[in-house]
Amino acid sequence: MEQEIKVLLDRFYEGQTTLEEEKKLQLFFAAPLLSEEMAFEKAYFSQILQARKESLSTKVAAASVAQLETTTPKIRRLYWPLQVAASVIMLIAGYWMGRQNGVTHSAAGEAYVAPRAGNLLSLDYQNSSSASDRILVLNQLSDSGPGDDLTLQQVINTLHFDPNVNVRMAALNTLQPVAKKRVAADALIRALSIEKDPIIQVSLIETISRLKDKRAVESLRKLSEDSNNLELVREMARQAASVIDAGQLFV
Amino acid sequence: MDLKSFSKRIIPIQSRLYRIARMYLPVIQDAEDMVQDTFLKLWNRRHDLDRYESLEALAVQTVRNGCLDKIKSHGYSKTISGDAVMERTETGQTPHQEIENNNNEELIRRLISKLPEPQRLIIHLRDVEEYSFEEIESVTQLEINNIRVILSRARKKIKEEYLKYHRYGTRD
Repeated sequence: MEQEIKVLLDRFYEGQTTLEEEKKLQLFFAAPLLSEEMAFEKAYFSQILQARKESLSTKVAAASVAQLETTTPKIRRLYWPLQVAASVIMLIAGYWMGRQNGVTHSAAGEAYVAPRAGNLLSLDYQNSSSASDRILVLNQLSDSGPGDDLTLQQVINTLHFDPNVNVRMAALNTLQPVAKKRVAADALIRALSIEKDPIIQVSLIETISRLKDKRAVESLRKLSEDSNNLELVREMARQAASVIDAGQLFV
Repeated sequence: MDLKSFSKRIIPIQSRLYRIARMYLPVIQDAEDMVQDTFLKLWNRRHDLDRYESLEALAVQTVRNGCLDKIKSHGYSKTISGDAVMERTETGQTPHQEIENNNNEELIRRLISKLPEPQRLIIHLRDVEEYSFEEIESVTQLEINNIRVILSRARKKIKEEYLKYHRYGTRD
């Protein structure tokens, strides 16, 4: 027996033994040894058996798989503190706009503005009409939808070029329900590179990340790299870009 | 690949991945983190996992690369004293046979983890995980004859170092 083991060991050290022969060695060395001669091999094979028993704790094992379940939707969502931050900003902006809007409402009345929607929004009128009038028009449009292409184009122009932040925000809100339209999506993506106001940037990023439009990635990247932008905005843009990137691969 | 079929293939090998990580990283927590990282990395590539013949081979490669990166990363080896594992050995000078055996096993474990790449990976895959040479080939992309040579060197080296330790009491 011992002679056979010695022959096997010689081959073992040359890397020539089969798995079966190695099993035989393990068995042999699992029994008590009479001689000290092969003490190393005894220790070696017993260490191997010991090492094989080591396993990942069940807690960690469960967590490893559980983390995957949570990452599946996470890929499509923004980091939650950012979501919270964004909604707070939106709330404040909404409240502020709501107040301004309310004032106009009582002063002007809905019926008065509606027929002049096109005029009020056209670029020529931006300097002469009041911001609150324009917001009112946009709010009405967002209830009824921008309708024809001309009106849609005017809303887009407003989003891109209106000097007043609140008006641009209202334009964005008007565009949101139709954001799936290509024209609107293009406009939103373009607005990313034009817009400098963080509140609107945040809303834009949120809207666009929901669209999952690959064409937005480039603009989002630029936004995230521009050090003039707020850190929050840059972080959101970066995340949205990776969300869209990731989304593209798995859709 | 959906989560279900992914889990089905990855769960059976998670302890194996853990043992491999443990061979490279002396701290249990680090090895556990490495397994979780590996799962995530693979899961993030789930769309092209079907291209790979063996998810296990890919997983082993990923764990190994992750561990090597971590070891290389700045300051890792400084924060982890390589002798932490050894402390038990140093104090275990009692003649009690059981303690002696444990220490020898600990010594061997440490000697394996001190082998250069790819010796330590190959000796671990073969002797602890009982991989066939073909399986080792698919992980390491080395030729089988070459694998035999490396394995032979690793086994001889462990024995040599073990005997050296016992003869002179040197630890390196």
